[in-house]
Amino acid sequence: MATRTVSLDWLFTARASAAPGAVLLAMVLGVGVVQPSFLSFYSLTVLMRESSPILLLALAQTGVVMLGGIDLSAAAVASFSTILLALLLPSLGVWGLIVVLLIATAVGAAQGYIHVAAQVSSFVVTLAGMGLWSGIALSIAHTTIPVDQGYAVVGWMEGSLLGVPVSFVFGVGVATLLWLAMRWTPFGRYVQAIGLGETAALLSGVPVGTVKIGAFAVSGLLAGLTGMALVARTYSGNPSAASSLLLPSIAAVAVGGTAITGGVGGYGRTAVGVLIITVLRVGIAIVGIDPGYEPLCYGLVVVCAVALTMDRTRMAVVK
Amino acid sequence: MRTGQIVGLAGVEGSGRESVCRMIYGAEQPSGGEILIESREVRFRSPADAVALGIGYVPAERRVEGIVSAMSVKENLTLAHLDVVRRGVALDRRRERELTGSWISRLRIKTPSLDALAGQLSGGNQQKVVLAKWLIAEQPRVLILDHPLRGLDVGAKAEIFRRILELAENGIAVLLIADTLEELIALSDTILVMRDGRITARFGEGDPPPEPGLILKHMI
Repeated sequence: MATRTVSLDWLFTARASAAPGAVLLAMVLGVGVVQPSFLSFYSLTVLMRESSPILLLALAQTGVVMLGGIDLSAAAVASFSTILLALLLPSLGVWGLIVVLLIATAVGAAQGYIHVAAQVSSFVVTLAGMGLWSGIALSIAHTTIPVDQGYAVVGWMEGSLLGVPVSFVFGVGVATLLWLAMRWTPFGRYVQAIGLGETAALLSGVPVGTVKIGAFAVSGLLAGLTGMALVARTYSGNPSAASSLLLPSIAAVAVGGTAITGGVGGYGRTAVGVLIITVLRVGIAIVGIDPGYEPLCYGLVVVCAVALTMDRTRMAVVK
Repeated sequence: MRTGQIVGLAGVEGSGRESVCRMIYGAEQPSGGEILIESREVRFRSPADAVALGIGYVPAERRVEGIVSAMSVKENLTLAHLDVVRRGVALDRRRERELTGSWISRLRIKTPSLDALAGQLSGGNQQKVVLAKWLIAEQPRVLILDHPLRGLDVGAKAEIFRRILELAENGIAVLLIADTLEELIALSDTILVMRDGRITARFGEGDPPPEPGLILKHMI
């Protein structure tokens, strides 16, 4: 007989899922105490606007990290996309955007295919990809390409919806869609199974190769969307537009409590992690910490936040 | 192999019996030969292909290959046949709970809840989860059991033993590798003896049950 006893597992899970939110709240309030104007609606919208490209890039990272891999190329693909957008928007308009998003998706899928077919670790494939795509972007355009004609195709992202930046609403919407997909589709279940036990998943008939290529394709698409957000923000394409966002986006995934070894965590956690990272970056300046100490504070907070937010109930070992 | 038949593979470690199982399941690629299902040749590039044709595999390394320890009992039970609990593009979670709940009571899997992690169950109950994973779809046609009784206590062994006989009675063809010759003889209808990747002897149905000594002679 299936015995039904009260399980306390949910309590630990609940604690683990609430932790990133609690860390975020503590940080926002902490900065607010030192500088009350930080809590004003205006400065919160500045924060949202600031966080949206990192949000999209961190979402790109999350699916691959959930598989137990990493995508070092996401920022390079985003930068590459800004160049392509700057070149194609004036002549092709909305079709230019569609073409660029398709290219970014194909780039991601191709990296996933190489990872699966040639059995090269995702770290190495995407490290090579990072060099390749930023190299191609740089060879197409040595410097910033301004976007004037066709800007409207991406410019809507810089607008406001009831005072909230559209780019942030867009990012949260995408995060919600991905969160739903991870929780409610066979694909999401497969991603978790591969992250937690790839051998058992493979031997259970999970189409591991297809799922991995799919996850990398999604990562590519999201990197393309990051490029779109950056073009909207800067009115231009630049071969290194997103390169400073790579490490913050990976940090955001970790701070949200997604295990870098895969299987544990998800898109909702990443969204919170992005806000933590953004508050941290903005907050250090607002609180008035000497800029020289900024990297030190940044590092300390990231490690402490990960220690607090990680859901370890499902992890046998921490690598 | 025929439906309802249990074929035992005997042989020493390295005789090729594990490889045969993994090749039939698509987990290793054969260098030659063919695999026939209903006299049609099939080629599996991955276990997913084999699963689609109704083949299931219970691996010897239960904790690493059989279950995803850090996933729930429920999620492990439906992992191989998620299409059974799918509605449109989404998972039907209510149906998943009902279906897995019914298999948990049918196989008497002892678990604190559907959401308990599979890795927390005892070995015997983990093994039942692995078996049930294959039964949850429509009838599987072939089940490959690689050391299904390994590391189980006496009670769990007896129970899994009975389950295997039941599977065959229900018309599933079973390919079996056992820990001991006694187990193999007790469970199998037909025994194939392997040595160095080749079949060296066959003890079929109708023959008197073979002596372990006789099988051993063909193994080495």
